[in-house]
Amino acid sequence: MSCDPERVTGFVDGELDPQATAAVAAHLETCPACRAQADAERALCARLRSLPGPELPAGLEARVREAKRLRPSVVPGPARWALPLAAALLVGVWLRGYAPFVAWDLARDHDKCFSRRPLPAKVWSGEPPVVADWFRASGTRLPTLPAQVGELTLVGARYCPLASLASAPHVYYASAASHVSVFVVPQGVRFEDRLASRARGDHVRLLRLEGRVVGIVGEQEHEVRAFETALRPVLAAWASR
Amino acid sequence: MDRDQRFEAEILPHLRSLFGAAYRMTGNAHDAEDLVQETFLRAHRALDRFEAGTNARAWLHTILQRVRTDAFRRKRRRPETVELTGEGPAIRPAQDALASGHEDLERALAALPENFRTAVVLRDLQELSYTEIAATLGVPVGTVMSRIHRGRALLREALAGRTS
Repeated sequence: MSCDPERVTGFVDGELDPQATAAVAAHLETCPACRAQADAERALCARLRSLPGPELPAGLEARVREAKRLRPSVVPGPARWALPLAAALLVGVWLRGYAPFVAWDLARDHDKCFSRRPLPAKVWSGEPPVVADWFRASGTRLPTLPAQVGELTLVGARYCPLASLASAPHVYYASAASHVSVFVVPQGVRFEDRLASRARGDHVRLLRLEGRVVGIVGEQEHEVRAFETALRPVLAAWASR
Repeated sequence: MDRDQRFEAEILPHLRSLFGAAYRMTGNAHDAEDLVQETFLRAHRALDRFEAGTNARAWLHTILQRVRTDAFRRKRRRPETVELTGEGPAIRPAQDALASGHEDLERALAALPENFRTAVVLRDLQELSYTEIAATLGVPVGTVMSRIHRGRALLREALAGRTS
C-alpha cells in the first residue's frame, strides 16, 4: 500500500474495516512518515480530549427545564384539563379587562421586543404613512402617528401577541438611549379615561377615546408623558372619524 | 417512565457537553446558549422519535445542526437587519484553558475553517463515530474522514508554527 494520510486518520480512530485496518497497520511498519502522522494525531487527540469545557452559563439548565414546561408537547387527557381550563377562562376573561394586568402585559411585550436583537419589527420604516399602510393592508386602521417625539423616532411596527390572547398593533419608537411603544389595545379595559401606572419598571399610560384604548410604554417618564401629549390630538381626530 | 422523566434521565445529562461543543462551533457563549436551549426544546418535543439505547449525544447533535441551519436561513431571509456583532470566530478561550496552558490549542481550533472545526469537535471532543457524524452533518463517511484529517493536519501545523 502507498501512503494514504486520510486512511491513517481513519486507522487512528479505529474506523476502518478489518481489511483496511490490516493494510494500514502493515504499511505503518515500513513507513516512518505515516507512523509519525499516526503518533502526532494520537497525541493531538489526547490534548483535545483533555481540553476543559467552558462553564455552563448560570441558569441555562433551569431555563431548559422551564421552557419545556411552557411549551408542553403532551396533550393531557380531558379530565386533567377541563376544570383548570374553565377556571383559567373565567380568570382570563376577568383579567383581560383588568387595567393593571393590561399595563403589565404591555410592559412585558415592550421589554420583550426591545430586548431582542434585531428588533422583531415586521414593517421597518420611519415614515408614518408606510406604517399605517402596512396595518391597513392587514385590516387595521391606525391613527396617523408622529414620525418623531422628542429624541425618539419611529422605527417600525408589528402585531404582538398579548398574554390576554389578543393580537395588538405595536409601534416602535427608539432613540440611542431609550424606547417607547405605542399599542392599540384590542379588548375592552376597565378604567376611567386615563390611567398612569408603572409595571416592570416601565411607565405605562392607557388612554381611552371614543371607546378606543391606546397604550404607551417607555422607560423614561418624561418621554411617555411627551407621547401622551403628542398623541391626544391625533387620537381625538382619529376617534371622531 | 413518562416523557419528562426520560428527558431528565437520558437527555439533560448531555447539556454541559453539548454546550461545550456549541461554544466551540459558534465561537461565543451567547450564541451557544441560544443554540443549546433551542436544541433541547426540540429534543423534548421529539423525544418519541429518539430510540432508546442509541447515542443520545449524536441524536442531540443532529438536532443542533438543524437548529443552526434554520437560524442561518432565517438570517439570510432578513437582509434588512443590521448585524451588530463583529465578523469572524472571535472565540475567547475558556478561563480554565488559559490557566492550564491550552491557549494555543484553543486558538488553533477557533481559527479552523468551520467545516473542519465542526468535524474535529464532533469526533475528538464529543467522541462520535464517523457514521454518527456523517448522519449528523448529512455527508458521506468518506467526507467525514477527510474533514477530520484536514482539520487535525491544520491544527498540528498551527501548533507547530507557534512552538517553533
